[in-house]
Amino acid sequence: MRTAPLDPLSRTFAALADPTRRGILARLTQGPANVGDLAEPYDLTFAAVSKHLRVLQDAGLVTRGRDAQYRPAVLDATPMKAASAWIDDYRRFWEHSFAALDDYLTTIQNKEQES
Amino acid sequence: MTGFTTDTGIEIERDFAAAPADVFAAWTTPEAFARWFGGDQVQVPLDSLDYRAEAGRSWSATMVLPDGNTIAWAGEFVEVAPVSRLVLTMTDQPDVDARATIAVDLAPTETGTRMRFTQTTPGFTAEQREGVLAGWQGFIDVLQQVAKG
Repeated sequence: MRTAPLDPLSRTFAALADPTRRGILARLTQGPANVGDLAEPYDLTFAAVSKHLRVLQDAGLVTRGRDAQYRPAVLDATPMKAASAWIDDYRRFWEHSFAALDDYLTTIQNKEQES
Repeated sequence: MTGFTTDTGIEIERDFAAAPADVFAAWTTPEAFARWFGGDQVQVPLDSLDYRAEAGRSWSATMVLPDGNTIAWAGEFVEVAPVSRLVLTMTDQPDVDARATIAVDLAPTETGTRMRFTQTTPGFTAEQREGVLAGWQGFIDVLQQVAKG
């Protein structure tokens, strides 16, 4: 099976699939943090946290400061809003569809009763 | 109708005053599917529809929006079990490999049929999907905090 190249939305969902990364994001909603701050609640090495941060950066969910020593991680909510909009858009799409499905089924029931 | 976001993406439950066989036919017959797919504001021209409900078979459709724009849909039938279950993949971006999986389960009720519909988010490996299943709620929590800002 070939590996599917992920579109931005899928990358967002994939980045969010990991509980540690969701924990990191939750922490970042309170403000910027460095790797040490982020590692603290978990039994993780700095290297492991950096790896998670890299995935979050690739998904556009996190940006890193320029200061080489400190480089605080900062949350960027834009991709999450896109993910949220994706869910909302599809929900609306299906709700419209199923209303039309209901009408269609009613129509064919009536026809069956008439004939 | 109840609709909510679940572990896997979108889940919608809806009751219809029609037998499961009728609801299943509405999902699997091209003429019927074209009537309701996308709602009453859009058109799915029958000649644009390649839609034969057989497991393993690809399907495609063109949707014409009220403003004249079109959406190209494509996917594949995964499971076709009359008259209780239908699973298919779909996308509105056929040039991207990621596909959402939708599953439709039908159960008879006293008044007709209860349909349970789920749609997963696209682009997951099995492992990633498990990860999402394990903790989608955490994502939603974060999302709600963040999307407000």
